[in-house]
Amino acid sequence: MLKLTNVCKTYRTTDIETLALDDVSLEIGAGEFVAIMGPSGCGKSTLLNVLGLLDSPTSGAYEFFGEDVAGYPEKTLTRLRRDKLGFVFQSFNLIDDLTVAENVEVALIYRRDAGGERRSRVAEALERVGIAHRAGHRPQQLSGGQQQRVAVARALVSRPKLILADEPTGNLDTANGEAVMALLTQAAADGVTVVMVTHSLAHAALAQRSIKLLDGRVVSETLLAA
Amino acid sequence: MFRSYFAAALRNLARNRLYAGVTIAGLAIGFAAAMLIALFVRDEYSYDRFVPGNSQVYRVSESILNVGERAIESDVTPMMLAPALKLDFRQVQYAARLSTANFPPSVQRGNFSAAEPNLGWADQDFFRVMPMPTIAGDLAGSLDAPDSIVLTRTVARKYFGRDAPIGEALLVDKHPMRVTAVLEDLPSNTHLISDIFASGRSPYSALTHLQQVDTPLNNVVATYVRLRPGSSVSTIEPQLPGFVRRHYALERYNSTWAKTKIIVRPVPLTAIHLRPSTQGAFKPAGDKTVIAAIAGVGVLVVLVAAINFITLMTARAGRRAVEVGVRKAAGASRRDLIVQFMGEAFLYVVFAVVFAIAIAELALPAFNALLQRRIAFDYATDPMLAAGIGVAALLVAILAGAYPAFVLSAFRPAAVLKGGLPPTGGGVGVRQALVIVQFAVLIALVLGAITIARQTWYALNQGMRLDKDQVLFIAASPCTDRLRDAVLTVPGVQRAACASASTLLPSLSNILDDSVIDGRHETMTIAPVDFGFFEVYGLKPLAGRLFDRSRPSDGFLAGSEVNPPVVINETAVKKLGYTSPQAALGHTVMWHFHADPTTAFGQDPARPSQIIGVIPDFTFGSMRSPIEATLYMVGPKVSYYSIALSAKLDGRRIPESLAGIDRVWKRIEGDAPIQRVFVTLFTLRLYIDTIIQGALITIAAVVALSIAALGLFALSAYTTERRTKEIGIRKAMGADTGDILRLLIWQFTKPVLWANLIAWPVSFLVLTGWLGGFAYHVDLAPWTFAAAAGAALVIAWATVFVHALRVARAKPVGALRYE
Ligand SMILES: Nc1ncnc2c1ncn2[C@@H]1O[C@H](COP(=O)(O)OP(=O)(O)OP(=O)(O)O)[C@@H](O)[C@H]1O
Ligand SMILES: [Mg+2]
Repeated sequence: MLKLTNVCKTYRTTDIETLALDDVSLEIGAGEFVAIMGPSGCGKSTLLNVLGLLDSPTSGAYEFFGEDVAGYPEKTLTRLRRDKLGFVFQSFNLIDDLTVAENVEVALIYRRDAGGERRSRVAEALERVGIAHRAGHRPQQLSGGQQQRVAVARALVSRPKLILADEPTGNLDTANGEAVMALLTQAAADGVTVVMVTHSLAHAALAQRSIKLLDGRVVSETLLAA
Repeated sequence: MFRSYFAAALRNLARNRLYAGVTIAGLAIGFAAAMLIALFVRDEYSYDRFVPGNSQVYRVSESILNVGERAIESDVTPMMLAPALKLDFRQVQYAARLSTANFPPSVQRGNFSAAEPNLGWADQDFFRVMPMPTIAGDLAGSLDAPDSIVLTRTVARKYFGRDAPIGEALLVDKHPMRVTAVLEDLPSNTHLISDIFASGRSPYSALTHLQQVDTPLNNVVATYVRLRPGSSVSTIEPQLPGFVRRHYALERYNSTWAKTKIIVRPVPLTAIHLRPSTQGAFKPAGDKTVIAAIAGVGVLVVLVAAINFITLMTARAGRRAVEVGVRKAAGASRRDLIVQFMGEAFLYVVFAVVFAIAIAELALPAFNALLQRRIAFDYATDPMLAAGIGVAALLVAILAGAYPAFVLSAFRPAAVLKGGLPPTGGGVGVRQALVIVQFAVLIALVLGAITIARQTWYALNQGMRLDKDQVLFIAASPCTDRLRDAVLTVPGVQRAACASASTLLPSLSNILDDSVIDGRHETMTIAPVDFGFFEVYGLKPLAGRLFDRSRPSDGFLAGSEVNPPVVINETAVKKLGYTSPQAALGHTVMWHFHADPTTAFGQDPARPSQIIGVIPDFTFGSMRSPIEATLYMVGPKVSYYSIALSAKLDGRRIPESLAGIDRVWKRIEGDAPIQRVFVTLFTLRLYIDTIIQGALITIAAVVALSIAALGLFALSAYTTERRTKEIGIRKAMGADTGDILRLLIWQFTKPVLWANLIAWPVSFLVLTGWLGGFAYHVDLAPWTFAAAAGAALVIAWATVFVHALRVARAKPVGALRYE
């Protein structure tokens, strides 16, 4: 379903050139729950950005749901993101000026869904992450764990085929981290493909497969779950 | 989707109250100023449209060309023109003349009386040519009876305390007249100044008097015609040269007149206000270039406000980077985001327009008082005005919203979503350039305001080259020796002398003569004065002597075969080709003087007179026209040559002196109210338009200054905040508060310095052009450029200083932890 073939990504700044992804080949199947691990700066976020069509590879091929997206115009990428993807970020990235419910709704509005339909799905998603009672609050009025649950709700609400989570538990305490992991595991169990970056071995253990990166290369893949 | 945009926009606005407030306030003030300026411009272009059927109405003016001279554009014509036009052209349905009384008549009802300078004597058909909104009476026939008089509502209330005193009587200079109609007050956007129209058929009307001295060059009345429906002025114009030959027949007269060429020009009623004239205008004409300049200033003010909007929006863009990233990750296309941010710009602009309308409404009365107009802000009833405001607002929203929308929507989600420092929006270069433009506009406006003020001051003071301090004008028709000598006895009056309109009101009445000196013909201005006139104004001869009362032959002697001796000015010396004032003395000049009332105007032969003195150039006229070569002489004390007394007071007991003059007036002139005014006040009138221009530009400069200061205040608050971390590091490295202050202030000094590079040359060109419109003007002084730059710097420093000081003083630890 997702297939990277010899993907390289170099960042060029005026004085140095960084090879963030070095000849990565990778295949992720439908409904898989994959954890990506590795030391800081090894290219995990870069890989996730490439997978999420937020960034394009410098070389190599990327097959996204059967389509080779290399050279696709931004417009098409935007449509693909809108229809197929959900994101969860380490730093939550909630819009301060919107309420919790409105933040979740952002994932739907660009799909031009009907308003009533949107509201019921937002309510449902908030219910699911257990934050419905805070629907009218602003992000700053929530704890970090609550904020991340809102972010997960936002990723889930559009019923994406693929959820990309970049250290979703990195800023959370154990209990909150567990809660967020439970939500992602549940999503995977419901058939959504989940790709998650994490530094926690325990959280990685919840995934079916764990990919280890070092200096932009895939150094090992471990199949975990049955 | 729009609800989400709207919510984000509104809450963003609420959360960033300072920035939003500053942005909206700047736009609102700018819009308000622009609205008022637009109302002024519209007013200038809407003159006399209140007259029904105005497209068929023309005022017939004249261009008068004396050989070798600039043309005189005269708004007034001889008496015979109107009847002759009616007689010769069947296209002319009605023709009528309007004369403003030379000397304000007194109007009386019961024991209440007042001088009415705005009483006009009008022909029977005047209101058939120019119908006007009427409150009472039948306007068309209202001037048919010789004793009929038409008032405006305000005048009716003044004398009768009610709006429709039809059939009631008023005494005009003691002659009874009957009110036949009452007009609505005339709007301020008309070239007319009259508020009382009296029938010209009255045996004591100005029209009747003027009929007796009518000659083809005695320009004394405004002439109006209404063409028959369907007739076009283009069928008349080709026949006008022949008309002039038949009716003016100037070759019948002396050499001055025979050399004069007259062009008769029908001017559409609605074009009168914007047509410059040199003679007889009721009100100062509007100047299209100046109107365009003022409109340009309005645009500049909006530009300054729009730049504020752009710099503040992009400066704060980093704050909204996360929002952009999240929306993009959620599948928002660039277009979606552009729509969102443009929408936000519209929201700001809508708020600003609402506030601007309120501000403009509040400021309108003061604005009207300044312009002496009655401009209405009738956006509710005038769809064009409402549409204009709408379109202008839309345009500003699009222009000002486009760049921030472009910048914000361009954020790459991968970059902004990883957290850490939010990026600044847009090129710092663009923002810097905009701030520079803003300051350049500011500096240019300040320079403009200073230069206009300097020129006006110059024109009102040194420019006229006479000492008018404590000199009083007393209108008298004629000004007699008896009045002069009586006023001289009043304690506190040092000197007094009569003079002619040609001397005191050169823009209204100017006697030109084809004079001959040493066999050469030159056009000279004839300016009759009185013994002691030059002395009143502190003028000393450059050569020869002034008129001496103890020598009767210095003055006019009835029946003499020679003209009285003349004193000429420096310009005349040059024009006549003398190398020095001294060289002109003793020469004989031949000129025409209409002194004998039994001969007709224009029939007097050239007679000799001797040049006895030369005085420096001076003028009571506008600095716009050069001082003419002039022959001064002591004329007879008849109203044509002697219209006002100039009295120099010692200034120590002015109220007592004025009361004494009033008593003398009453003794000599009886009940006629005295008309007196200090010369300094009187000359203000010549520059009222310049003063208004100056005031408008000063206001615009102050508005632009405050908008820019507001914007800079917010921008500096933002950038100093962004540099908090850098400042923390620098302080940790040992920089002190002064070092940091210098660093921050320098950041805002640079754009001001650059702005000067743009503003100076542009202002130099524009202001040189403007000053070029004056025959005598100040030069652009280098200090004014420095002053404008200094003003901009002070504004920049003052706004930045507050933030800079706060940040510079903060403890480095706090600053470092802040990020
Ligand atoms: N925009 C960029 N420009 C230049 N270099 C970049 C950019 N983004 C990332 N890099 C570099 O690419 C490499 C991989 O970065 P990436 O963000 O993918 O690391 P990461 O594995 O996510 O690290 P962490 O666990 O600290 O988040 C790093 O060496 C980083 O310095
Ligand atoms: Mg990372």
